[in-house]
Amino acid sequence: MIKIQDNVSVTIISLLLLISTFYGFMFVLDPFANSFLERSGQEASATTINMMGNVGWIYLAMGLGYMMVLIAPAEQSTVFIRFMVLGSFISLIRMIDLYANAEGEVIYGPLIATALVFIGNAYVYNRLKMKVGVFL
Amino acid sequence: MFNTQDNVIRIGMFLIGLMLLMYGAMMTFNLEFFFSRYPTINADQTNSFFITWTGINTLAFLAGIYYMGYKGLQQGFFVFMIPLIVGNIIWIYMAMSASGGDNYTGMVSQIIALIILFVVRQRAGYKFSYPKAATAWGTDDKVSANLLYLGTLLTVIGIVMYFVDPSAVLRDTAGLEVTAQGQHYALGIFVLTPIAILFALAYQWRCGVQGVLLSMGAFWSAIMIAMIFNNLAATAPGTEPNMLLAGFLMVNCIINLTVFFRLQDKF
Repeated sequence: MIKIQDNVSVTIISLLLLISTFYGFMFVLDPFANSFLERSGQEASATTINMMGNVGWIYLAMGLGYMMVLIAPAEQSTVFIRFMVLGSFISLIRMIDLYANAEGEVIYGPLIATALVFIGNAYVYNRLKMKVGVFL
Repeated sequence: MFNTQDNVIRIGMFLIGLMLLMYGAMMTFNLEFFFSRYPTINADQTNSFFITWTGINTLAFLAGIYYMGYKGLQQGFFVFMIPLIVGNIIWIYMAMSASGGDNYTGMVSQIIALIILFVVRQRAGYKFSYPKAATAWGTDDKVSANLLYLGTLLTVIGIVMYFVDPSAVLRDTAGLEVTAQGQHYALGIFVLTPIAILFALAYQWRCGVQGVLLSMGAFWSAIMIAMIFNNLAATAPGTEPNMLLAGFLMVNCIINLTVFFRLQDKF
């Protein structure tokens, strides 16, 4: 059923799928979104919860994307993984900027998760020989 | 689609998929609407917990329909779904008798789904005979076979644990309360669904593993692991999470995923 032959890539993609699903449900389901906001010391308003839900659905769609990558031949998933490498890189830069300017007590979980997602995507991109140029 | 030219089968499976999508999406993502449609169900945290869980189960059944849409019908799906829906109908009848609810939509849709499943099964030409595979579980992979035995054992243990102390999960899980409705949901989750799973496991033990059932298990496990972590993370500071339930589910998820990844090249 899984078309990708490289076991390391399959493991990393499965973990990425899990992370996307975890964050997706955290943002989409109100009780989890509320507790996430409480932990990060922010006010839980209806607008914030609604906006988090929008982000959560993007995460869940990404999870489905990773599932499709698993069951399709690698060459059909090139653009998706390339997009994910670029997208997670931009997210990581933004996270570094946010954390560099953060004050007070800081939870490093989201920064580490974003870095791991970027590294995971880039590693899979390399391992499955999807790279067409020097960087991407 | 469904590897058949029979339009009755195609339409029937589409309708079941539609019902599963509607209930799965509503119970997982739109509880407010669910509670508004069933006013006799209390909109408390205990019921929300179990309704979301039921929704995730329903989405996993939907994954089975999608799988068969691409790969073709498999008998194991019917072996699992028919006892499950029969159990659901009994469960809904008990719930409505206890609460006095008058929304029959769920009951009617379950009965329609059951009829459709019988019709599709009949048209697909499955006989009431279950040919024995060459080896138990139809595989030479000892690790998978032993894990499937372990999964069967854990499913039985889960059912027995419910009967030993039906309110244990409600009492020991942070945020849940021991209520009559909560206990009825627990009956569905911890007894009726596992009975259908036992039917599916017994069938696979005799006839060999089925791609559709393993895929449904893997899909459910991926979501369940995310939900376990989310529930653990959302448990209020200073509150003891229900590690027995989390551990029990986690072991089941690991078994499902290990068997799926080890045997996925066979289907």
